[in-house]
Amino acid sequence: MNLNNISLPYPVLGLSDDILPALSSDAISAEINITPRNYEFKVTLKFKNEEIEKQIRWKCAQFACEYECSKTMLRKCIFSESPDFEFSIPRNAVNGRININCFVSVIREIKKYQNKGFNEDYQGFTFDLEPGDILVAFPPVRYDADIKYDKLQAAGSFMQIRKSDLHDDVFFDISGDKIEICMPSLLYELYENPTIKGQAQIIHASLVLNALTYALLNLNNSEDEELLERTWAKTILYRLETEPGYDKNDLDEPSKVPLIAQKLLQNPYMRLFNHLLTNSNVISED
Amino acid sequence: MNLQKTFKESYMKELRDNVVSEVNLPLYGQETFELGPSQIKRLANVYEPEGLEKKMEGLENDDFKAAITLYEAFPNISPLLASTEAFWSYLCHTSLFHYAQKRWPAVMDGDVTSDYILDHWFVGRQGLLRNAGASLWWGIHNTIDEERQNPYELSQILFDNYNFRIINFGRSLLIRHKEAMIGILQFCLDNKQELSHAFDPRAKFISIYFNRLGGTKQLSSLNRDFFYSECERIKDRIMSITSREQVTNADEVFSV
Repeated sequence: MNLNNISLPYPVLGLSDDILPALSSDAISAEINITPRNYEFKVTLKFKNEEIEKQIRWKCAQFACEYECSKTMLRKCIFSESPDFEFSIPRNAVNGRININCFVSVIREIKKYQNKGFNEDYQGFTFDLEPGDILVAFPPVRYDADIKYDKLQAAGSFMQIRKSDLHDDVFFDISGDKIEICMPSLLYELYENPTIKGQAQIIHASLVLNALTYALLNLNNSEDEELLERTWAKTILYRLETEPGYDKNDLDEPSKVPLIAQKLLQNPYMRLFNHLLTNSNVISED
Repeated sequence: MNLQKTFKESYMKELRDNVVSEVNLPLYGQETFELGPSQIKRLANVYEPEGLEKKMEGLENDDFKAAITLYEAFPNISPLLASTEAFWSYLCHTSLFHYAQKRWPAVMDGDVTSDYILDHWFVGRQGLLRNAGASLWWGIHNTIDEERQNPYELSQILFDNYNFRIINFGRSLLIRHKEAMIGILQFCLDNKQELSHAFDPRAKFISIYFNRLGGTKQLSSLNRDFFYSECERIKDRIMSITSREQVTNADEVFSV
């Protein structure tokens, strides 16, 4: 079985057809409750396989839930005889993404393991399993603690303007956790002038829209996998996956990217024109 | 006690830009690094350790002692703070500035590169564990064992060899699994004499071996005893390694 690009040398119950019937789409459900100090998770696992259930009853296997956060080097594994886990992670123990991976893993040697559900490729074979080997691999769950879920609509949650003299002109830096519109000192001082900074509608329909379009075009074309781990990318992908009217696959089509960008910024051209009309002193007499 | 300070994110980025553009490179070889007071902020509930700069004096050739000194100066900071570039970068430009200059002396050369300064004064492409301060603090944090009479006993093994700490295990998922580190380091401690010859390739072998084993087992579910006894089980293979070439070229030595 292939699990996270790892080939396991024996069949594992999961979403693939190593063992049938495979896990159902609701094999894992996770709820999160955020308190001032902690992220509290409730994870419930579900599967049906007589042979594996028997191994759990015989205490040769158990449910395991591993949660980890790479930036803070957090990696913990908790165990249970039941498929329900409740655990709490201090908010100051994580930075960014929390990955949750659940398994049924072997705790006592199992000799000549076989399963009625084995794919026909494995029929007739038996496997000697050792502690740590995996019988069931549930689909991974992730929670991005750095996404500001209460401020998803605000451009400030994924973008910022800052001073930078790395280039002589404005450039867009998408390598950090926010999309950055970097301005040379002289330009940045002009931007800081309240007359300019106060014209949010104009800034949104020009600088911000350009930067967002650039970032989206790079999101699916980049060979840098780390780009997808950036908070701005996760925030935008979360919106595309959860808000109505978006199709994440549209990112693959460059001609659709400007449409996504406009939608994410909630129709910046309309707001620009309304702003210009409202603030214009010139009345056309045509 | 004063609250610990850190860089404002925007200022840190400005400093980074000035390193990338090479404008500021000569400043890193100077006696002090001038910072504007408006570019820093104070951290709630984190207090500035007293005399850190003085305590770090003379420790540039002893990573282990430097690491304990730094860890004991910040024993209770959260992993969240300890994973932020602004915090370590601030320390490297202030109380750790002279330590970092001596520990990473190429900074005093006229031809130091941007990448060198980004790696050790900021968080560069190689990640947090190259930062002059973060590499020390995390090395202890990941190996300290409060159940021992000397809680740093195993940390010392990790700090005995820079490649072992930063290259072999620093890049590996294993360093995040404390039980694994304790089991492996205990094996190294118990076999210190035998391992001392060709320690570097042998340590590399151990690291690669467990990373490969992680492809077939859920290592995070296994405790220190498993890792220790697995090292014992493959001890002959570990000791048969005498050169890096053996580790890099021979796939068969890794069959699990």
